[in-house]
Amino acid sequence: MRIITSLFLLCCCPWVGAAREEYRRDFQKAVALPGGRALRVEHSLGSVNVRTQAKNEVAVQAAIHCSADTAENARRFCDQIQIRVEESGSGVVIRTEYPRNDGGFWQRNRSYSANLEIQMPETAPLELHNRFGNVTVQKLRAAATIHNGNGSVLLTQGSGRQRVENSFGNVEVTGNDGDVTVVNNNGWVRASDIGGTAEITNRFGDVRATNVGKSLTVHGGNSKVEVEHVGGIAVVTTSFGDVRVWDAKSDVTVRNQNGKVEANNVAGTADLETSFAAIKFTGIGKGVRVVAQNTSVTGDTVGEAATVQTSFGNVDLRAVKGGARVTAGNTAIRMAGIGGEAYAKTSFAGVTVEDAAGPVTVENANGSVTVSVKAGQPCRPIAIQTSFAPIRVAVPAGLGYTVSGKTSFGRIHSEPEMAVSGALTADSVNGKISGGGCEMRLTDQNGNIDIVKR
Amino acid sequence: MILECGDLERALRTPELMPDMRAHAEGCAACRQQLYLWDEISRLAPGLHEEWESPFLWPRIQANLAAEPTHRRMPWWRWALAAATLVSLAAMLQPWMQPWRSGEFNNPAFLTERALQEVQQAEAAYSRSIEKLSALAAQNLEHSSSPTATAYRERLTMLDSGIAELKVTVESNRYNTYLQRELASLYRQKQQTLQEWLQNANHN
Repeated sequence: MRIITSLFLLCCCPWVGAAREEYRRDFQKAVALPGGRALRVEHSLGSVNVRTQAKNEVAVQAAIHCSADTAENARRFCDQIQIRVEESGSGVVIRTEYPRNDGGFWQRNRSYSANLEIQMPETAPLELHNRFGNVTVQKLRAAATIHNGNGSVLLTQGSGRQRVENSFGNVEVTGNDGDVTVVNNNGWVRASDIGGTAEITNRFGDVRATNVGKSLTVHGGNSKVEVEHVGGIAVVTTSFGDVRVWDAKSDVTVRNQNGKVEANNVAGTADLETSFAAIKFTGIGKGVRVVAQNTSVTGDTVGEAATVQTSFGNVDLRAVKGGARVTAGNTAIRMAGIGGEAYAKTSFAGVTVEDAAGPVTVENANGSVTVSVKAGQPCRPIAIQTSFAPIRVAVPAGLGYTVSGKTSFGRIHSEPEMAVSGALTADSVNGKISGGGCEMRLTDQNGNIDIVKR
Repeated sequence: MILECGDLERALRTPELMPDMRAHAEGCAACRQQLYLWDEISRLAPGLHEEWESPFLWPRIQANLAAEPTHRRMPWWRWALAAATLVSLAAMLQPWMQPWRSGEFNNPAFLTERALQEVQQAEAAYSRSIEKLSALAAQNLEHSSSPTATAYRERLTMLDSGIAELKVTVESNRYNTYLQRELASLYRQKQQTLQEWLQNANHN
């Protein structure tokens, strides 16, 4: 009995490691597809490559692969896989049909796939459905809708309105003279050289859009987004991923969470939001608006006004032609070369305003304030308020100010000559510098006030 | 050294040849696929190693050996049967012993029986590893209301859904290399997601 058992085991063991046989069956068919009619493809478990041609014909080549325990079983199974090419009033339908699998033992022992090569008229619309395989569509000059899953999608050198929906795979669209819409999930998306608009939605995958002729909209979730050379308005929404925008010819809006934002060379306005990560911008043609939390903000070279709102992150703003308004909390603020009105509000950190060409207003608490006025400009009003830290204002020679200074537990000192009027006390002063002029109101508590020559 | 597909088996046995083999694989999809599978198996194999205490195994073997008659003569027909079995066994094993047969090599659409076994073992190991990670991560992931935790939960749910759907498809097409690779990729993503979350949780 023991020997029989041993023999049985011996006979069974090699079966487990037995060779498998493969079989390939090729399928070919061509049918006419008159102008104005569409091609529909329904496929799965294999790749689909679509190329185009000038003539009104659809040519299908399929390579059907089967694997089984014997060559005969593989061949028999392959013969049951059908590639249907059906003509109808609306166009041509290509459909791959696999035998029904009820999960029986012998059925579990075989495997299969089918790859399609399709040539279609270049001006015929295409609707393609695939699962578990890659899709490629080249040089299609008509609208296409592609639904894929568990595979990548590549669309190249097309024109017309293209829509791609995919999941668990990457999507790449390179060169399309028309609008492109991509909806993806769990894979990266790349779109480049798009003549029309691009709308990209992706979750759990990065997005890169380059050379988009018209507007660009990106809805990301847990996605890094990179945008370069956009002709129209760019709107990017994402979270948990960095956003970088270079060279946008129009307005840019970025709504991010838990990710950095960087905007460079934006011809229009830049509207930037994020939290818990830094914001940087440079070369903004029009205005900038920043709303952030727990975020440092660094920006320069702005054509119009800048508005920044943040907390728990430093703000460094330079070379703004218009006004600049910075509202922050627990945050140091540094502003330099502000052409218009400079307004800064913060607490528990210092404020520095350098080369201020316009009016300056600073509201601080528990933080120092240092302001220097740009030389060669007419005077502008200055209003500064803080506590528990000093105020220092540097004014160019010859500019006239009417000064009103007040502090407690501190002293007031003016380096430029000041004609004092009214009651003279240690902690308050009213007077005129260079014969008076613009209002300079300095209010402190528990801090010194210094007016110095620039 | 310029290597070709036929040199793959030799390169796998000779580490010095691997850089040249990998250089060849960069331009050869078939070799790249085989190297990918090999790398995956090599990476996962250490996790499959298990040891356990079997204090009664050797005493039982000794007892059985002692009970076995030492000089019993086997009838001729048993020798013949054993020889026939060995011949048929060799015939059946012959293709199995050559994993890089030209047919399989040129068409990597399907796994061999042995590759499938290895893939299934790897999958089982992966599943066990992921279950452990999941149990660790669940302690703070399930109860956290932070946006980060919400994002991780969402991703894990999506990956679980993808894995479940793919497993159903794989079940009826087990030797399909593409499907197995997709499944491995999703498992890997899930593992990475859990590891990221645990690192994130440790840092915070």
